[in-house]
Amino acid sequence: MNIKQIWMITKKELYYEYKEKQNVMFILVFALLMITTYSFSFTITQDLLKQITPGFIWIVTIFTGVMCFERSISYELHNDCLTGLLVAPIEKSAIYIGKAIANFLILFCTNVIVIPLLFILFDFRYYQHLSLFFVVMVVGLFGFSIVGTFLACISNKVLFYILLLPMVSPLLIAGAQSTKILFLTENQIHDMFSWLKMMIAYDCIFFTVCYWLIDFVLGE
Amino acid sequence: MIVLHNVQKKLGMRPVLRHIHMEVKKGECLSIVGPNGAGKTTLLKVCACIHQIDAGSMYWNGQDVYKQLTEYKRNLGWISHHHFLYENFTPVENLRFYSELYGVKNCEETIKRWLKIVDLYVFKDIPVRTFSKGMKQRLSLARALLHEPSILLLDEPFTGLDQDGVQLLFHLLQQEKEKQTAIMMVTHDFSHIEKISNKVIFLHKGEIAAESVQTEEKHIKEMYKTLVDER
Ligand SMILES: Nc1ncnc2c1ncn2[C@@H]1O[C@H](COP(=O)(O)OP(=O)(O)OP(=O)(O)O)[C@@H](O)[C@H]1O
Ligand SMILES: [Mg+2]
Repeated sequence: MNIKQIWMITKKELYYEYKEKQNVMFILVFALLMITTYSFSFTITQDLLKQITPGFIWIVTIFTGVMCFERSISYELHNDCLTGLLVAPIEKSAIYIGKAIANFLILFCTNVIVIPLLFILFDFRYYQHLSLFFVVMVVGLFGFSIVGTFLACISNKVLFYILLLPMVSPLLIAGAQSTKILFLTENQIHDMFSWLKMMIAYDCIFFTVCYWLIDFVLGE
Repeated sequence: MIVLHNVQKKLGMRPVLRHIHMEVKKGECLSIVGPNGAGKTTLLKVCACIHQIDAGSMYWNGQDVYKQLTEYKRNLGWISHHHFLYENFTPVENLRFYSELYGVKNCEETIKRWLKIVDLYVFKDIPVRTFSKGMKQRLSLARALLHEPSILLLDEPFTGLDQDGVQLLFHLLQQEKEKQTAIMMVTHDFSHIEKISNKVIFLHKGEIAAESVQTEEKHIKEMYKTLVDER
């Protein structure tokens, strides 16, 4: 694993996003639209909020994630830039990990904007276990980015969507469960830790598997 | 010097290249011609190690390419009708990214020099998406040459260039030949071949159908016609 090469790719991805701003705009508008729709469809009480917020957070993450992963490869195909990368003296795994890290950072930043926004607009007061909530989000987003970016590297787009569902659902279920426990049943915190452990195991396993498989997937 | 020995490549289930034997010496330009779908681009991609070969071997300076892959790739330049440029980046940003990839020393100086060579220095801070096709192709020349490759792979490099651009490319290729760069060029325009090439190979249905050291346009046209008619 070559850190310098990975950093070159991550830097380029982030700079591209900075210039294009497509993901950030998409998620902001999408989240605002969802918040508006939600607040007009229900009479929202603090209790109800606690019920719907975990799902809400993960739905926004899924939508932006899928768009982000898809785009991170499709813009490379535009002028055949991917071939440019494949011809260059860098490892395929560096291209993949660089992109995955960039996607993770983009998702993380958009969540950092959207989640507080959500809390403010819904007037949702949640102060306990904020640090645990942060850890759950980071572990979840990391696994999601690793798997999503890997699948996006598969040149067959239909396969991308077909495999996405079974491959990321364990992670998303665990993520939503942990968030729910954090928001709703604060006294069952130890249950949350088993979900969190599962997410960490998922991240480690899929990172290793994707790292080994990427040579057979990217550009083939 | 690159040598391909009995190289075979399948894409999907189809054999696209079969029994390819060829050799390109330093300072030599080899042209590859053949009808659409003959496998020319695939051959270049194999040489660039984008596609792994299924059988056979490939040597660079007497050693197996796959045993010195990073070093080999660092010495590779690729120009095609796809220009590999990021539309939202400016020429400077594009070239900066590629020079980082190739570890070019004195990056900013080199970029400036190349932008002047391809006559795009005044457009250096304008996003590439606003460029015309020919301008992008010129920039792509700079992109491919700024790390001073010793092997050049060209896939229809003249596409989109105006007369000045074509002259510029010939001039650059001539310079590269003097610098002992090995060049492989795929083209459909036979008039370009005699100006620069030392050798031509005819590729047909994935096999080398003929080779010739005579590179005059008329000769190549005749050979091409007989070969295509024959098969
Ligand atoms: N990814 C792929 N999967 C399966 N077959 C492929 C793939 N890429 C190319 N081919 C097939 O390989 C053959 C050779 O393609 P190639 O692009 O090398 O042709 P070419 O000689 O460069 O043609 P052209 O003159 O049109 O550029 C074609 O028949 C094509 O259908
Ligand atoms: Mg071709």
